[in-house]
Amino acid sequence: MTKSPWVAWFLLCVWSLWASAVEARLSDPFGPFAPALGLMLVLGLAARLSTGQSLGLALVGTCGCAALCTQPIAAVFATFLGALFFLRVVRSALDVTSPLVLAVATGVAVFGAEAWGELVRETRLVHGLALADGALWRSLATAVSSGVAMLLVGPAIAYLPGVTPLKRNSPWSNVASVR
Amino acid sequence: MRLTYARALYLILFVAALVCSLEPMPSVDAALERASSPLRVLAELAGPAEWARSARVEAAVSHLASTAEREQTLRRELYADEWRFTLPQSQALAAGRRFVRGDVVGRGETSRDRLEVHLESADAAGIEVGMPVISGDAYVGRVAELERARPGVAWIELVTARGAYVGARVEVERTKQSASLVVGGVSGASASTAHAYLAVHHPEDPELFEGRVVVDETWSHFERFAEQSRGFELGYLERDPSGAAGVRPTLDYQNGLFHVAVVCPADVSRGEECAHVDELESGRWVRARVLSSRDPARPWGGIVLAAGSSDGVRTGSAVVFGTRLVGRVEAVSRWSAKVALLASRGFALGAVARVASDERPAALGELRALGRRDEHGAALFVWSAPRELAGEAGATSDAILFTGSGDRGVPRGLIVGRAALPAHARASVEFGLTEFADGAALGEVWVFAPEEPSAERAP
Repeated sequence: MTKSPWVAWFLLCVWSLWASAVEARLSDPFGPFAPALGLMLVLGLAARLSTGQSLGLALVGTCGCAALCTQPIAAVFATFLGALFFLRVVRSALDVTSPLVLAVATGVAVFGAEAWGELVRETRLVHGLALADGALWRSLATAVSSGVAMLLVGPAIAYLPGVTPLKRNSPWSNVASVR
Repeated sequence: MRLTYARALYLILFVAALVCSLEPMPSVDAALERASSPLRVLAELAGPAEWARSARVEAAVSHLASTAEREQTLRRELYADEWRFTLPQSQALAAGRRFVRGDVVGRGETSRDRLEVHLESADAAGIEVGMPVISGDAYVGRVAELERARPGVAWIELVTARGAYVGARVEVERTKQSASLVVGGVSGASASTAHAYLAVHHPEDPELFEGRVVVDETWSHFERFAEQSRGFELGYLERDPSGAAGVRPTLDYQNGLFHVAVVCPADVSRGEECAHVDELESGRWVRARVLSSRDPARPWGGIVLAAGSSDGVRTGSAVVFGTRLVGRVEAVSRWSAKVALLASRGFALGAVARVASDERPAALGELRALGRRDEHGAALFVWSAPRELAGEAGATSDAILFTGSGDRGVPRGLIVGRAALPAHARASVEFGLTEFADGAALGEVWVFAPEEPSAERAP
């Protein structure tokens, strides 16, 4: 098994792509209650990696999502950068490796990301800086399902095949010391 | 938290991405799409996720194939009727003139008041700059330019253009009163509204605010084609939103012009006109596989295709299945294209309706999608500037909707769907569109690859 971080980044990109593809497929039966798997994957890993890898994580998450979605690439990139920035802020006060903290932080980040997607679409395609009817409700539904899903599978994300070389020996105490 | 170089870079990128998201910059968007071209290879790895919907794809394709022949007949009938009603319906207007019809295929890049028209015989012999252009009994504008490089392509300056003036006469049937005036450009007070008024200049009777306005330039010694343009209708004289005199136009110049005719003298030297070419039967279509039928960014709800700029696909190109419009290309990379589906919120198109009780096709103008009622329900559309349709007041008319022309990437006459439209709506109307092609249920589509327009010259 390789320990090259480049291979690990590529494999993470593939995982991100698959998370986005499955997320899109789940929206067929579950509608707005389908969890945001692409963002969950990135946030789940970011909680275990050093903060210096945030930009790499945002780029990889953007690549995975942008390959399959029609949202402008700048908006996708802003979504991942914003969600990771939010996790970084939470991390400065709380232990984000705790499943409950990570689940709540994911819920809030996903809510912001979904509302952001709605806002960009309305701004670009419809009529200025506004949200469509029901946009906040749909964002909330996705946020709740993503938070619950993170509570259930969050700890396993860091152990996805191929991505472990990215993980440094960085328990919370070590990470906190470099934040 | 200390501000290191890495953190500063992160924040700069974040702010830049936020700004580029909310303030569309076509050059930045296009550059990012080009840079993302290699993601097409990555997207292929997600192919197995599409296998789960193969049964749905088969059902949708088989349904659409079963209706294709009937729909093609509907399209031909629509085209024949549109052509027929492009000519004047009044005998007095038809007499002593010759008409050369043309399809509106686009608008000017620098001015929406210039139309690119492809003449029916792809030949401009006998046609001259300054000749009047009409649609039915209504006046449209004048021939502004004939392209030498593309014979049969004419540019028309609409009467709504700034600086376009046409002599006219207002006739009040009630009082048998008549007065001359000059009409041209859009009245400033109504320019931003859905129902723009034509501006009135130098009215002979400034106190007159009613009557039918028709073109009459016979008093001008400089107007060479005054006899050809005389009598064509401009609209009705009323008070515009500012209270000044304005002409409420008969035509929707912004979104409702799909076919026009150049009016020539009866003895013009010109051969026989020939039949039109159906864009669906032209060779300008690219077959494309659907790479991703479901959008992970759910509010957007588009699809991604395995064909890009290297295949001739351009931003704005129509995406079809059979005779039906599926959507429009929103962004293109070298090897893939992102498509906004017909039912996606914000999707806008110019449409023509075929109402069951009326043989005359009705130009609806612009329709804009509000999204779907539910995952598999009707698509909601808003019709912001409704025109009168055949039918009793308060009733709805069952209509089949087709694409209009005027959008270079979207051929006219593609089937959009079916809708029940109010016959006499005055204000903006919302309606449900049914029987439309759902791109998320298709495995393969065709993308229109329009010919490149020539560089537009200043008028």
